Amino acid sequence: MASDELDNEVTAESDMLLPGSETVFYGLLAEYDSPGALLQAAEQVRDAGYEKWDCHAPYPVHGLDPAMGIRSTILPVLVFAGGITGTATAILMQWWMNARAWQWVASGKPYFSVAQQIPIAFELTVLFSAFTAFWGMWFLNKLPQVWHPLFRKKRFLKASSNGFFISVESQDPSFRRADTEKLLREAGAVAVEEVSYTTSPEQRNVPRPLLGFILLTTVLALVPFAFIAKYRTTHSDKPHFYIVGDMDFQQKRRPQSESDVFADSRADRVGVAGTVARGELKEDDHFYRGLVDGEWATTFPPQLEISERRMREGEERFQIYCTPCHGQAAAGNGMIHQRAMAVGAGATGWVQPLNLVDTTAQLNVVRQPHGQIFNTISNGIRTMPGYKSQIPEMDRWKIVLYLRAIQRSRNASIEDVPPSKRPALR
Amino acid sequence: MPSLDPKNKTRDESAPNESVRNESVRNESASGSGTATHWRSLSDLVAQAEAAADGTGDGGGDAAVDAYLEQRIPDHDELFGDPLSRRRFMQIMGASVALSGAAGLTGCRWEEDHIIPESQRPEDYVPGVPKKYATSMSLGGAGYGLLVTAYDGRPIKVDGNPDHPNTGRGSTSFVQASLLELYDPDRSRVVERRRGRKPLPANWSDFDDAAVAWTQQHSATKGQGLRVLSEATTSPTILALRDELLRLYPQARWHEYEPLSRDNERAGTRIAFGRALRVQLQLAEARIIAAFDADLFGDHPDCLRLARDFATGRDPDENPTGMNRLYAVESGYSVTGGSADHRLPLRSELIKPFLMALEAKLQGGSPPPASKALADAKLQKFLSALAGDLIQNRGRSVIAVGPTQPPEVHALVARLNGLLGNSDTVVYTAEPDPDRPHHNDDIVQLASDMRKGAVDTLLILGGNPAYDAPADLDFAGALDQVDNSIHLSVYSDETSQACNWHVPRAHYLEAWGDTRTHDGTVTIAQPIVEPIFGGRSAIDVLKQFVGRGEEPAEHLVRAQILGAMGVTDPRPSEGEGAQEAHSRADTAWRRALHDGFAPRTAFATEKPQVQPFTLAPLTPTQGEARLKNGSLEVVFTVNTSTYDGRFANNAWLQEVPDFLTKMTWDNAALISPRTAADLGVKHEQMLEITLDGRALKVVAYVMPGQAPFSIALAVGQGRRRAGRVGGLVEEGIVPVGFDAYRLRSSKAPMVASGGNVRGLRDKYRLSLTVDHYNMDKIGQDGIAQRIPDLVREATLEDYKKPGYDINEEAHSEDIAILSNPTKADRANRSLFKEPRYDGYKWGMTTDLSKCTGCNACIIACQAENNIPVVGKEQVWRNREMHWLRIDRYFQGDPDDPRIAHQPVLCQQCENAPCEQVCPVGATLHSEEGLNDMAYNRCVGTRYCLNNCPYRVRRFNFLRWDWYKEMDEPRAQVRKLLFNPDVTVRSRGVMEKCTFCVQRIQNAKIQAKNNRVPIEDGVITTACQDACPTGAIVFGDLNDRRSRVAALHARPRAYAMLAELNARPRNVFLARIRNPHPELG
Amino acid sequence: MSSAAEASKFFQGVTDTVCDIVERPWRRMPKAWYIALAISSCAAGLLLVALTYLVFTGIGIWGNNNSEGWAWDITNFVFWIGIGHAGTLISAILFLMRQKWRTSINRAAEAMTIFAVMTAGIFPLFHTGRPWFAVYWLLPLPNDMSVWPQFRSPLMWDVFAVSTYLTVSVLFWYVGLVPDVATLRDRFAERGQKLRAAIYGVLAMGWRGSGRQWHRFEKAYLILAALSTPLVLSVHSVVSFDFAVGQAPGWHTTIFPPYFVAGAIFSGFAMVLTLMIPARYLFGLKDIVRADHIEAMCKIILATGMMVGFSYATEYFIAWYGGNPYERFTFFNRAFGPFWWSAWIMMTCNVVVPQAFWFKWCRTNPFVIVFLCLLVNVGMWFERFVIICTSLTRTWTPSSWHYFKPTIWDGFTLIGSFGLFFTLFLIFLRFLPAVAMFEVKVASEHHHAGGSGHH
Repeated sequence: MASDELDNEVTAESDMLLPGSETVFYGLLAEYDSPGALLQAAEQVRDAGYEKWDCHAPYPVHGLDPAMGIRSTILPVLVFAGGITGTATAILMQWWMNARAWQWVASGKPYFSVAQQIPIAFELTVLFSAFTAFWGMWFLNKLPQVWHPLFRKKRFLKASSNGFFISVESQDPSFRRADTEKLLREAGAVAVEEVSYTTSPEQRNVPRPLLGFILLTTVLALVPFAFIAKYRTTHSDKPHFYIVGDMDFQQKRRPQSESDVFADSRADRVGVAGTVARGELKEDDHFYRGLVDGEWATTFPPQLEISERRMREGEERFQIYCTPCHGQAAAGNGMIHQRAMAVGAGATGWVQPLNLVDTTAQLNVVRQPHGQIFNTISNGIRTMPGYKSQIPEMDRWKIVLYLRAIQRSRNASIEDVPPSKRPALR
Repeated sequence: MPSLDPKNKTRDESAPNESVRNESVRNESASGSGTATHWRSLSDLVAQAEAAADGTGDGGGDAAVDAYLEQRIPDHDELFGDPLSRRRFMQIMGASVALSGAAGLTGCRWEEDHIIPESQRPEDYVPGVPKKYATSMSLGGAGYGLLVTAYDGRPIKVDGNPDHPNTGRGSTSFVQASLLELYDPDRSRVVERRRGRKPLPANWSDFDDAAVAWTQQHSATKGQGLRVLSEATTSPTILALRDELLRLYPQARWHEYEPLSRDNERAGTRIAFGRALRVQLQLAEARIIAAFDADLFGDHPDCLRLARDFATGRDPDENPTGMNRLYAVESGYSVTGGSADHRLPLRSELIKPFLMALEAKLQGGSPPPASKALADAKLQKFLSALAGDLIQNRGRSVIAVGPTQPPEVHALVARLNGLLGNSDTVVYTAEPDPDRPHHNDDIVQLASDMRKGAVDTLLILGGNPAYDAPADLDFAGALDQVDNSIHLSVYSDETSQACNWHVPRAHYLEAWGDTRTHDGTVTIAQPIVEPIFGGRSAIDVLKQFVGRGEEPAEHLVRAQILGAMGVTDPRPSEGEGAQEAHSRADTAWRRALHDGFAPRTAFATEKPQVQPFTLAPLTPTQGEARLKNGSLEVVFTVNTSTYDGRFANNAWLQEVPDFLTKMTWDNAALISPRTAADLGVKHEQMLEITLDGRALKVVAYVMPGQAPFSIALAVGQGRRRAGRVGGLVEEGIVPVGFDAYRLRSSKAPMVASGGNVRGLRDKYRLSLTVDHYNMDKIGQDGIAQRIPDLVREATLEDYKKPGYDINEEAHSEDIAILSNPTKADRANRSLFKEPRYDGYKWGMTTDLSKCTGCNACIIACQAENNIPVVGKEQVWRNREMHWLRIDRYFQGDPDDPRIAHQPVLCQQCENAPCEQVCPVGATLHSEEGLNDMAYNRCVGTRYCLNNCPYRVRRFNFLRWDWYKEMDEPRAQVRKLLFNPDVTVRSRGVMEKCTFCVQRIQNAKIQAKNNRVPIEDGVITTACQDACPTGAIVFGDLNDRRSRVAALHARPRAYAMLAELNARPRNVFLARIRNPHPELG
Repeated sequence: MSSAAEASKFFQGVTDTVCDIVERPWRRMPKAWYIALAISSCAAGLLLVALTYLVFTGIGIWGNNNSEGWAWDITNFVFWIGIGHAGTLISAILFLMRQKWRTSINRAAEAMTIFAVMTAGIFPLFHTGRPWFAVYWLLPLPNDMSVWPQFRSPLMWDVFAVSTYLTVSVLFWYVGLVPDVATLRDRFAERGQKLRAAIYGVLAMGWRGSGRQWHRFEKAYLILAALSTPLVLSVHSVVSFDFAVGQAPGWHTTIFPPYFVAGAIFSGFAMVLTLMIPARYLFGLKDIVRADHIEAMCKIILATGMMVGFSYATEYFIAWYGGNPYERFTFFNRAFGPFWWSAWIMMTCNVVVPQAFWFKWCRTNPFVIVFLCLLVNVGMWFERFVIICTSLTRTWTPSSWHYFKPTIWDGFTLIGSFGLFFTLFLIFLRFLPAVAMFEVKVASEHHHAGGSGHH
């Protein structure tokens, strides 16, 4: 009876055959009626020296491993390795992040201490081991593998609820169609079936709905990237996206910012006319205005210490503020002037900056008292603007000091050189 | 400027408020006010009522509003209430709460803002570098010399002017908070004109024309019917203009009124010496100070100097011998009483018999008129101890009496001081215009004249008489009899509404002016910023009336100041040497502006002789020890939040906890525990207080230390037209607190007798930041057990013992070491090696002997650090944001307890417990040992808060920038208030005191630029600047010469909760008391 | 062959009963299930609303304040984490102890664990002021500021402990599910329900129940169990560090780790019973979840209940004996202060109530059991409330003492969390095998091993 059963199966298979498809013979599937029977059968198959075979049960039948002669898995070793990695990761991470990359005192505690690291070290150990156990098991079991020839057997569906099976693959070297079937039957199989599957081009290519699904998800997955690409390449006059404003936009008014309160829409107010702020009393005429009882000061104010250092500081300021017009040598031929000449502004009433070292000019700065020069720097003259809003008084005086130095050097005679140095000049 | 046109204004305010307003009223009726209201909103109610009254009489309207306010239910919901369903602040911040989600208000895009640099920058102006200006403020006629910090020309901080001979360093909470008023969006911006109560369109030029018309009219009538009602002022310029006015209009009259007047003192000196004099107390020299109902450090116009002088005599280390002893006899606890060595709660009306008894004791002669009230043994003991001390310290004692006491008591005290020969400690100086009538009489006079129709034109310069004039005068009603009533004020308030004209007043930081401080020093007020809303000062308006409208106020002030300094200032044009004289005057003027005052202009001292006078016989109640309901004493006191009500719209002041009751956003009737028991009144129960015919519903606050049978009522709340903060009935914003002025009559404006109390069924919930007294037994015992550890005290005797260490009392060796900063530094009590700080090591000390608990530091901190206001409901939910709080503890007998004050701010622990528990490292230690907060990093787990033993961390539970209009044009101005150097924290972020790290950083930058080390005292924290007594000292502990280092080494220095080994950088100096041996 | 037939009949029976819940058509689902789902999903909706309002408005909608930085939020967190523990305990520890009776309930218990931990996970995230940052700043992710988490904080330990716990529980659960899902796959395939067969097929990953697969499967399962056991103990210990490491009196106690773990197991078992007893009736699992199983669990509740009681006693004793005045005050205040009621609810529900389980009648009467278990859960919620709120309301400085007042939104969030939990559980009952079939089969193997000669 078993045999014609078989035949039916085969014919059933062959009916379904489609053009271009071939039938592949997988192996034999034998069913047993109880776990006990399965165990006995398994032992026999094992002893018969088969390799590519397996048992199938709805639950891990006790004693099946010895019966099948399965060697113990290496999973625990992997898990142990995983665990060690976890511990190491945790310790290294905490050490690097809190004691190395980002060192800050918190509660006066040391940057690194083992005690404080134990909890996370423990957790990561467990986490890594668990992952290894999980993935390792599937990997060793060669799962996931959604399709398998056995699933094409109606009978095999019982295997997950109350059926007990042994499957032997045709690939097995000691597989002989008849002998194997005989062996399985003698081991007490209630039924033996031939497992074969047909591969048709139609079955090989993916079912349409699945295809559609995959396509859709891929497209959706790409959309964000498309947007990013767009925003990276295109220009927009709108400010950029910014979701969480929290403290990046403040109610307070920073310097030079806007405010609708005032007609001029400035948040900055310049003080009320006539008021005197602390530090703006400026009673000392000499220092602040270059005047000594009504006349231009001919001396430097006592606040300014006359020294090389101060003069150098003056030079620095001079370089910044004066040279553009008056030139490095204060000869009134700075970049601006040269440029003006270049563009022919001379014709259109360009006034050349004054030569500050020329004793012959009719406006002779060399002769001017210190105070007057100071005043000129402060309030400007002719087309020169005043610099008092940009240069503090002390620096203005330093500039005067430096200017005096240049003037001396420009109009120096051999007498000015100390005798000891004179030979060097020759 | 936005919405100068009144129609605009009304439009853009009514619209957004509509929904919220309905909301609020629904809550009102929902949360259980017995009778449901049928009005859609309070404003409608007002509208209806006024329509009914045909736009004229206000009675209908007020009655209806009263009816409404009577049924006002407690300002909170039941236990499971939605914390956001509150009135005021939801009305104000509703929208912002709703909108400010994760996305904030940014609309998911980066906010654009523009930089607007100056094309031509003025000299000495560097953007972002603050400047300081000397100026002055006047409060109730008393001037304060101030130093204002302006950031980019915008005032952001007000402090005492350290160079000022009278004010000096330090300030009051009012001075500090006056800044908020400058940027208050509710300030009036437009001239208002009314006929009856109907608003008419008006603008400045209308007013100018009207002014011209009035001047013409009255120059015709010689000023007949022209009256000026001014708030108390000492401004030389205003007084000069006054005289000019009276010269021009001989028939005109000038009245002066101040609800919290100190004129009883003038009247008293008039009795004692025959002429009005001013009392100048010299506490620095005094060994014994006795204050009778006198709050020398609280509401006294000279409080800053008095507190400072008192404190110098309180430092047991700097002058151990000269430590003074302060007695206080008062009906209600005052700041002064809080810092007294001995305090006797006594009904105000009993001060007189007490003093008479004292006088008798001092003369050792005739027994005083029998008053059963004095029979009490405790009182007698106190009396004899006091008398003994006074006799011992003849000539080095001070007896001071407060403004609530009647003139004769002041006279009596003058006599006593004379008797004790206190000519050096109690000095008398001239009083500016000594002949003017008593404020109270003056207002009575004016009111009756108005009723008689004798007043055609009434110019009201500041003040708010319609609200704060004695209730029996019905000033608002009287105003209807006046044809032209003009009110100059910062807000369009109750009086403005009752007048024909309202003229927006310029804030004192916006206008030229001058004041005299209590000692008489002429102090200049220079404007820091142009009038933001284009207001005018009193000087501006007055000069219009004397026909000098064109002359700039600056010139008038200059003339007065130079005059006071005796400097001649001719016009450059006129003749020989005028040029030089003028420029000399210029220099003098600039110098005066720079310093802020005219030197050597204090009042001249006088040596008056006491004249004989007799005291009136005692009233029946003065004879009684126990009073029955119906004859209770009612004392009207200054409101520590709103002064006389003028600061009612000032959210900073409304939210600052009263120094004693720790009450915010309210006022209450303070009743002593015993009296409350007698009357069967519970804490937070609504009362009806009746005083000759007038009734007021107010909440009861059972107050330890309040004198029995005496009820203290702070005036200055219950404003109906203060603004969106203090109450604006027409917009449905319920007034804050209760209007005590309604009980106040011109007969007894300060202390009234015959009060009757009836307990009502309603409960009312107060928002207290500290709620100890009304606590379960266990809690109270727990506190009692802790106070000695937290707030350490010692008597002078103990302290002077050699080798005394306040920490020895600690209950373990380790704690003793840890709580002593110097020892703790050496002994490393941690399991691990504690980090060292070799650079700067910032530290602070807080001297409990000097702290009077005056609250100035709290508001200074609030101003400096952009600390938000949260509103009554949120305070009730314990979410106030003050970085610095002042803990107040009661000790001993609830009827006569001692108070301990303790300012607590972030202690900047070296082993800060908060840091370790922050998962994102948002709060960590700087290399200078500061416990820094990185707001941007904070995710708000609030673990640090849970782990902070001092509970000084504050979490932004909601979006606190409570003007929803912040994002509306009319409130843009509010943004100018913020200190640009300090981050404005967003919702969901933890914050706390930083030791003013922005100041530290600025100082370090400066020092670096100038290549000099930071000198001790260069860096001061905001609280330190504000403290009048110098109780707070900040500096570098590594700098051996710094004051703070020295103070840390004091034997009375202790660290709070030291056993936790948190190693706070702020240490307290124990309070050293100087009790009388017999009183202990 | 009778025994063999019997065996296969039994196995078939198990499979049918369990799978029936998943396979039956909607109309055959019990009304009670629909009602329960309706209610719980409404509550879950409430949670959604509450959280949205929270994110857009701020923590201010809750009762938390400047004295109680934490209140119901963390109370709920600890409560739910605790609930989770029973699942792991049953599936892991009892597995290692070879307790056969566990097989009837471990699947449901594990599901419960996962859902409980998911629910719990909401709170640490949403209790922060700025969850939109907390959600990734609490993870050690590289960033352009090059700032990192601060690992001294117990909250960081929490992050790792809870996430590890959730992950491992899910893995463990899924591994156990695969063979049973395979069963469902095959049954659907048998009936030609292609789609569902496909879905379960994917989930089953092609499980063929082969001997070699089973071998590695059992090993992996054993390892996971062995890992989960210390994990479950560690998680609540770490959670308890949030308080033990803190300084507040009433928090700073070394007894917390064991105390919390005992409490967790206690509440967890109570929750398992609360869930399984009704399910057992609704879906006719009586023969699988047998009365003796339930009784065993009642005994565990009794035992853990007494451990908890012992912890309370120790806590109070140390507070008194330790002599730290602040500590002493806190505990005195707990019992007799303003929050006395919460402390006594806790005591009654957690210490007194379980004593009923000394009596067999109580252990066998389902209504009584469910009622008592509900009380136990209430009690355990209050335990956390007491520890967190009453401690924080009165810490060091009396000036910051304050009475905690919750708001409706606190209530909504709590109710909502229950909603979410039950919704997930009900859905699980419908779509996945609520009982570990293969384990039941293993457990009952030796009864039905049938004519096998081996031992």
